[in-house]
This record gives sequence, structure tokens and C-alpha cells, in this order.
Amino acid sequence: MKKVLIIEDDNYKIRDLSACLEGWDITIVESVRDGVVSVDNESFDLIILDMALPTYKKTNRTSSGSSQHHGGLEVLREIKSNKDSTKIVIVSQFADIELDKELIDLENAPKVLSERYNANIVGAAFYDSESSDWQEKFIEYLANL
Amino acid sequence: MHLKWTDLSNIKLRNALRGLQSNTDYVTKKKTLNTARTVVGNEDISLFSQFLSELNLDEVCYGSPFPRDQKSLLSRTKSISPIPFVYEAEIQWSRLKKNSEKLIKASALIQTTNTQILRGNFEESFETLSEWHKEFGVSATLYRKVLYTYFKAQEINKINGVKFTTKTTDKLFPILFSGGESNAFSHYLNSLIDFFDSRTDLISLIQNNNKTISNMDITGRLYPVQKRMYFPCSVSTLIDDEQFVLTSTSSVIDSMIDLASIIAFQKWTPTLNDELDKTISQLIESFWQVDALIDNFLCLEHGEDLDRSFYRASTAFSEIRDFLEYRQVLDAQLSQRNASIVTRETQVKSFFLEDLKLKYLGIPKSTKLRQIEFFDNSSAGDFLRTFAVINRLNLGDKFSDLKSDQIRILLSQTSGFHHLLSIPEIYELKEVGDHVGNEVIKFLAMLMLHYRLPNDDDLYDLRQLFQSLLKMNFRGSILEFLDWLNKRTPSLCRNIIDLCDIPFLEKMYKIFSNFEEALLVREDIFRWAAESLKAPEYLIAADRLVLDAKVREIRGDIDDTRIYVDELRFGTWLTENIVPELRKVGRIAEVSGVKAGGDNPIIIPNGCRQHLNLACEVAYKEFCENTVFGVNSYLARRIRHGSFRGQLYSNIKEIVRKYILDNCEEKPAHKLSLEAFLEAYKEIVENTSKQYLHFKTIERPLGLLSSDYKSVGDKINVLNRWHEDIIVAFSAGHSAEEIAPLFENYCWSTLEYDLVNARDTLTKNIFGGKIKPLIRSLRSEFDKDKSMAQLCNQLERQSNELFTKVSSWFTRPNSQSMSVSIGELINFAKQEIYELDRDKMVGLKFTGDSEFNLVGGVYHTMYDILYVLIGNVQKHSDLSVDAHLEFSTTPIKDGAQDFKLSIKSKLLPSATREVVANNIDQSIKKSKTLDPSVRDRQLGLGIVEKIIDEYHGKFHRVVSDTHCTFVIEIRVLTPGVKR
Repeated sequence: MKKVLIIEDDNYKIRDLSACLEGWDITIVESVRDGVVSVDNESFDLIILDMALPTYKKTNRTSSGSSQHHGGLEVLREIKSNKDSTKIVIVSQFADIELDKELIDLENAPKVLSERYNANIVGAAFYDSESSDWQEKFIEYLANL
Repeated sequence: MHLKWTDLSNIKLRNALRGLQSNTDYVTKKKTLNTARTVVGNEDISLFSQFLSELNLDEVCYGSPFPRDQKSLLSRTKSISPIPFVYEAEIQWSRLKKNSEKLIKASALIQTTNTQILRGNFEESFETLSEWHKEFGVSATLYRKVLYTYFKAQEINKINGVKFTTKTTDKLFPILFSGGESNAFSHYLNSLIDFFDSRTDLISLIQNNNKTISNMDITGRLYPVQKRMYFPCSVSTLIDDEQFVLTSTSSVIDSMIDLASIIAFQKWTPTLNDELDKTISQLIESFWQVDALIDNFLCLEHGEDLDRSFYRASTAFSEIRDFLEYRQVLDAQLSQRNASIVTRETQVKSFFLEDLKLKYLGIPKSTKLRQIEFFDNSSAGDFLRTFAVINRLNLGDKFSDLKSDQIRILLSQTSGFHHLLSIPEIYELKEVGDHVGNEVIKFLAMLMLHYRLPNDDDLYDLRQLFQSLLKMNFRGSILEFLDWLNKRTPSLCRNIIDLCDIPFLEKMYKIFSNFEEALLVREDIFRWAAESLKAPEYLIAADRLVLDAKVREIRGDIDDTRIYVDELRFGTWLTENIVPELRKVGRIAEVSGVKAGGDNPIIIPNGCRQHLNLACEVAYKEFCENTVFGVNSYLARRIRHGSFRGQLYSNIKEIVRKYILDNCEEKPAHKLSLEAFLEAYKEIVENTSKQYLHFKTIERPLGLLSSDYKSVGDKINVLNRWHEDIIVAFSAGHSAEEIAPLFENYCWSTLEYDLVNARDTLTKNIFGGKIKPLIRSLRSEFDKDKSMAQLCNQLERQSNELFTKVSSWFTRPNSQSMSVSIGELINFAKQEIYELDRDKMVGLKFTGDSEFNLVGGVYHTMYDILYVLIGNVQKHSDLSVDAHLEFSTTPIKDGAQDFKLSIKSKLLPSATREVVANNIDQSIKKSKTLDPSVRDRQLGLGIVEKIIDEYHGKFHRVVSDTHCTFVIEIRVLTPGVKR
């Protein structure tokens, strides 16, 4: 069974993504830190990456730390440092990503970020709870893997 | 000499001077004088200055030659037109001549003061300075000497803090330092105070000052003051600045010191016409006869950090040539690395001889080295060495010429390289670190790069290297690393402390597994710094961190229990209302002989189902809807009428307001759209609160929660398990009283389905379906405006974060045994109220035992009361005066205590006693007649009254003509413990 890592903190997004990943062995982490540790310690066939993430997973005893608007980039930096070529799909509910104070359209993000972080980003889907477009796109990415 | 108008060649000037003679009012005189200054030419300047002097017009320009106080030091010079430097020098020369008699006396005093200071006779020098002030008023020169003497005396006496040490200072300081809080000179003065204080890092101070200057509008009033902050050492700065007259030359003493340095550096030479000219010239020359003093000074300072003392001394003794010349060299190295401002190039060589190579600077202080002019290896401190390194780098030396040990020693004996090295030099240092495999050097170079060219990718690399360095060599401990560094390169410890702020630390994912660990290490770093660097100011930072952590912890507790049920009260209610029904179930079950356990399915006996349904339905309804201890009560007071609006709206309002202020002055269309956006955003938040944050009823069909225990299929599954567990418990011999507590857990499980729905609705439907489209529409309105795109991006991310946070309130509480001191709880409530409306900060004076600890239910009760009462002060009181909050406890038997809490605030100037009293009564009355689910925020006092009623306590309101006081008295059974 192929292994997928979902790095995502919104429960409804996790549910929607999991619904599209039937037949996959799914690992879910909900923070930047857990994302970084997971890509360091395990190998996956696919990583699904959100951009806005808390630094840590909140527990009964500990808090989540800062909310990182571009926490996904931290995971990409780690992937670059590990020289990891795992395929990555970005699923974000924001239409662009801010890099060096410039806004990059989500459509262009795979190209720009792949170059910058030597990462194998195969696609980026704009998650919109009001529409199913993102789902179609996401399924298309999965089919082309 | 007799002056004649006709000797002036310029007719305009001649006319202007005639006019000046006949004008009597000051404003007209000044206006005409400014005209004259702008038309005067080379041929007339000498005569023009003599006219000014003879007709006393110089005082119109510069005020008194010996101003009495700080205010008059600059009072007139501010509005006169600048003229070319050489013209101004002529005018100042005339002023000196006119006051030569007094200046000769003043010079004698200056020299006496110098001798006293340099011999360390500070008491005597203060006496002389006081005499100087009495005779010759204030001047920048006087201020420099007073401050130098004062701080030097403090250092030597090892007295910390700013307090006057002698009777003379007691008299002198208040006169010198009062009365100029907001003028340009006081700005200069404040900077001078920092400059002379040995705790200030001079390199940073000077560099910040240079940065400020470069960012300043050249025509700004503060510009010349800023530019000359460290005058007179930067003589070329002075002469390039046509406005130099505006800064400190209203006293002729300053004028004399200025001209002394200008003449010394041959930037201007007076034309000596008569005996008086020669006297002045000799007077100025006399300042140059004290060279011997510098040797004396250097001997006195031997063994101390020579260079820093020197830098400060050079400003205080600016009339001494050697100080001035040496300082010129240092200034050139510091502020303009590649643009020499020193005219006499030989000076550089005399201070930093060719053979003072970079490698010599990588030798420990303890090693004997031949003395090179001013550079004595055993006594030269970081400051001078830093300049020497910069000088060698300017001459082409490279870090790669050194071995890694030499670099380490060099770094350990210098400071401020993160500001001073050029980017290629830093890269070179990094490469050297890489090449020799020295991770510390590489890390320090990357740290310098981070200061100069900050970006997230490089910061990530820096953090990676830091983590690996810590793990490999210091067992992952930053404190161990700091200890190690402090023994070798102490000057870099502060850079590490600055680097390790919370945003940096919390991302050290390979060292810390949660946020709190990072926070704790930050506190440890502060405490380490306070002790190891002998810097007690870090203790304050550590304590502040602990305080912030406590506020964060309380916020966590409160956020965790926004949806809450008072366990104790619900338990009592269950005992009184559900246990009788449960007993019936128990009897039937017993008669039916139900046996549970093993693999046998549980069969609920006929007759039980009806009683079970009734008990569960009634209990769940009460759990949800009870207006005192149920979910509905907390939903109302802690979310709907509490922080929901403040959390979601205030932050967004701040972002938009700031953007409008910074960017929309000339963009009215942007401003209008943003204001409309803010209104629409607010409406969505308020409608969400009104329509969704309720239990579902016919009036509130969109309510997110439902007290119907069968409203969704999944709830029925919970209900079945609930029934089965009750039967199993009876069959195991438990009594109805023992079984009742099971209800709370099942009530939470039943509610969980609605809580999930609530979280999804807020994040997915409200944020995703309403807020996001609203922001998108704003963005598309200004499609090509980059800054608006960035603002919209920020708004989208911020509101997403806020909605996520608010949605997280809709969870079952985790905390069971919370505790907090009353003082901390008050601080937190105040902070929360402030977040609701950031334009209004409530000031509170507290009386009572702030350490008194509250636990469990009392924690919640007190929070709810404080939130309403402090919120009431914010809305209705005069916030220019602090409110007074008093809290006391009286022990009663069996651990019970009586609490008394009062809050007294000043009425708004527009309010009257009758109106306020009436409003309070109406507010409470209204809240009693309305269902809590429809209460609005104005009815907070009703909530307090209801809580107090529950405790059978008292709630007094006293309104006087000027103040309003609320007093609550309650008896609590488990109030908490004394810490």
C-alpha cells in the first residue's frame, strides 16, 4: 500500500482529503514541527502539504506556539536539506503564497518552489469549501502520480 | 574702528542693515536679518560681522552669548537662515572678540576643570563646574563635562543607577536638566546622556544615530542636532553643514570650542587685523597647550577598557588636540569605511602603523607585543581592536591570512562586526569557517549575515547549523554553549541572546518537542545572562516572560473552558432531580434480574426504557440550557457576549486602520472601500454571533448547538450506550447516586456532535463561505495594486487564524483542576477587555493579596465577575483616572471563606449620578426579564447579579457625584489556597 503524509491542521480539510485517498496508507500530522520530524524519519510516496500551520500540535498540557502563515515552506526547507525527492501536492485555501515579500500565485507555486527548494512538487490545488473544483484537480494529480 | 554704511559694497545689504537699525520689533528685525544674511557676499562679510556685533544684532540672531538655561540655549538660533560656513565663522569670530574678556576667564575655568577631572578629583570638579555655570550659563561644552564627570564618578564609586552623588550635583542637575523636555537640544542632551553612560554599547548607538541621520529629512529641525551629536570630533561634518550655527553656538563658549577645532584642522583661518584678534587666537591656542594631560589621562585609565573610556573622554575634552585627532581616525573607520574624512592621511599611519597586521590582532592580550603608538596589546580593549581590524581590512588584509585559532581570538577581542564588516568580508569569514571545518566560525559568520541580509531561508540554515552545533558539542543545550562562548568570545554572547528570541527558538524542532520547552529555555537564557554577564536588566526580561507565560496559560484555561459546565452544580442538580428517576430504573432492573458482563449482549428490561429516556432527556436539556451552570450560560457570557467579537474583529480592524493611516492619505477610493469592507466584516461577525452562537430554537433556527438529545442519528448511538452503561452499573451493584456522575460524561459525548458541527461551520462556512469571498472581492477591486494585494493576503491569513482559534473554543474542556492567583486573573481579564476595544485601556490600582489562589469553580466564577465589572469600567468610566479594585477574604469555619470584591471608577465628565444609577438599575432589571439567550452585551451586570444570587451573596451599587462603585460579597466553600 502506498504511503501518504498529510500535513494539515483543519479537520474538515483532512476529512475531505482523506475521502479522496481511499486505498492509501495515510499518516496525518497537524503542525510544522511534526511535519519536519515526519519527513526526517519516515519515507512516503506522497506528501500533501498545507501552507498555514501551527508550529506545534496543541495538547492538554502544551500550546500550539505561533501560527505560521507559511509553515509549509519550513517543511520544504527541510525536504531540501534532506535532498528528498518525494512527490508533493500543495493544498491550500489561500490563492497565493508570499515569498520574499512577493505574492506567488498558487498556479505558479509548484514551479517556483520546486526550483527554490529542489523539491518535487507535482501540483497545487486551491481548496475552496464552497466548490468541488479543487477535488477534481487533486484527483487528477493523484491519477498522474 | 568707526563703521560706515558706505563701506559695504552690496546695496541690498546696506539697506537691510539700515532697516535693522531703525526696526524695533523683534520679528521684523529677525526677518530683515535673515534677508541680510542671504545677500551678504565675500567682500562684505567681515564688515557685516562687525556691524552685527557693534549694533548688538548678533544677540537677535543667537540670543545671549552666555545663555542662562537649556531653553534659551537654542531659543533664537532655530529660526535664522543658514549661510555658507566661512561666513558663519566670520560672524562667530566677531562674537568671540566682543566677549573676549569673559571668555578668557571661562577658558581658565575649563582648564581647571579638566585638570580636576583628569586627576579624579570629581568633587572639586563639580564645584568648579557649578561656578562655571553660575558665571557663564549653560553651553553644550558644560553639559559634556558635567555628564562625563558624573558618569565617571559613578563608575569609580561603583554606584548604580542615576542619582546625584554630591551636594553640588543636587543643586546643579535640576537646573541643568529641566525645562527642555521637547526641544531639539533636549534630544541632543538625551543622546549625550546615553553616550556617557558606560552601559551603552557605543558602536550600536553611533551607528543607529548615523542611520537615523541618513533617514532624516535634511531640512528637518533635528537634523543638525543629530548630525553634530558627537561633535566636535567630526570636524568635516561640521564644516560641511551650513547649519552648524543652529546647534550649539548660541553660547560663545561652544562657538570658541568649535572654532578651535576648525582652525586646528586648517578648515578656516581668521584674518588677524588687530590686537584683539590676536588675543582670541592665543586663547584658542591655549587649548592646545594641554597635550601633557592626555598622557596623564592615559596613565589614569591604564588597565581599564581604555578605548571605550577614551571615546567618551574625547567628547568631553574636545578642546584637547590629541583626543580630537585620534577620534578623527576612529570616526572615519566607524562611519565611512571607504570615504576618508581625515585630511591628514599621515594620522592614520601614526595610529595604526603598517606593521599592526591582522595577525597581531589575533594574539591574546596576555601575550607581550611591542607597543605601537597608541596600541598597547595588554591594555587595548575591544573597541580599539575592532577599529584596527577594520583598518587592516580596508588596507586589504583577509581573514584567510589567519589560522582558525587566531580568528577565534580576534573575534573574542572585538565587537560589533555584524554591523561593521562588509558583506563580502562576512562571506569570506564563512568560507574560512567552512574550509577549516570550524562550525563556530561558520555559525558566527552566518549570524552576521542574518543581521545584515535577513531572509527566512538563510535563517533556516542558520538554525539548522545551530541545532547541529548544539547537539554535537553541547548536548543540545544553549546554556552550555553560552557558557563555553562566554569563556572565549564574551562579546558575542549578547548576539546569541538576541538571536534566540521566541520565534527563533520555537522553530528549533530538533531540540524542542513543544512550545513550552522553548519558552522555558528563553527564560533560562535571560537568567543566565543576568548572572554571567552581570546584566540585571535580563532578570526583568525573564520575569516579564514568566508573566506572559502565565497570561498565556490563563488564556489557555479560559479558552479551554469557554464551552463549560459547572461540574459541582450539575452534580448537585443530578442528585436532586435525576436520582429519583434512576432509582425507579434500578428497581425494575433488579426485579428483571438483569445480568451484564462477559460476551452477553445487554438487554434493557421492559419498563426501564421509558424512565431512562426521561432521565437522559431531562438531564441533557439541563446540561445544555441551564442559565447558571449549563453550556448555554457559558456560551452566552464567554463567547457571544464575551470575546467572540473582540477576537474576530479587533485584530482585523487594527490591520485595516494601520493600512489606511500609512497608505491612504492620497487614495480616498481605497479608504472608502476599506471602511466599507470593515463594516461588512463586522456585520458578518455580529450576525454570526446573533444567529449561530445559540442553542437551536424556533426563533434561532441556525443555532449551532441543540439540546435535543436525538437531533442527529449519531446522538442516538451515544444514547444507546448511555442506557446500556446505566443498566450495567446497576447490575454490578452500584446505587443510583453512584451512577448519576456517568451522566456528565454522556452529556459531553452527546454534545460533541454539535461541537464538531460548530467548528466546521465557523471555519468552513463562515470563514470559507463569507469572509474569504469578502476579502477576495476587495482584492479584485484593486487588482493591480500590489500593496492592497498584500493587505488582502494578510487579512485572509489573519482572519483564518482567528476563526480557527475561535472555533477551537467549541470543544469539551480538558482542564479539570485549574488554579490562578487573583492578581493574575485580574491582569488577564484586563487584557481580554482591552482586546475587545484597543482604543481603551483600563488602568487599575489593586489593593489586597494579589497572590491569593483560586481553584476550580471559584476560578470561573471570579473570572466571569471580573470580566463584566472591568468591561463595565472600560465602557462607562473616565479612563484618564485609574479605577480602584479591592479584594479581601475572611476565613469562616470548615475551609469556607467570605470574598469581598469592589471596583470603584470615576464617572465620565458628561455623566450624572442619576443617569448612571438609572442605567445600572435598568440594565439589571432588563436582564432579569429576558431569556439569557437573547441578552446582549449591555446586560453584563445582570450576569453578575445572577451569579451572586446563586451564591446567596450580595451585590451593591453605589453611585456618587463623581464615582461608581460595585461591591460583591460571596461565601465560597472551596475558594482555594494561600500560595
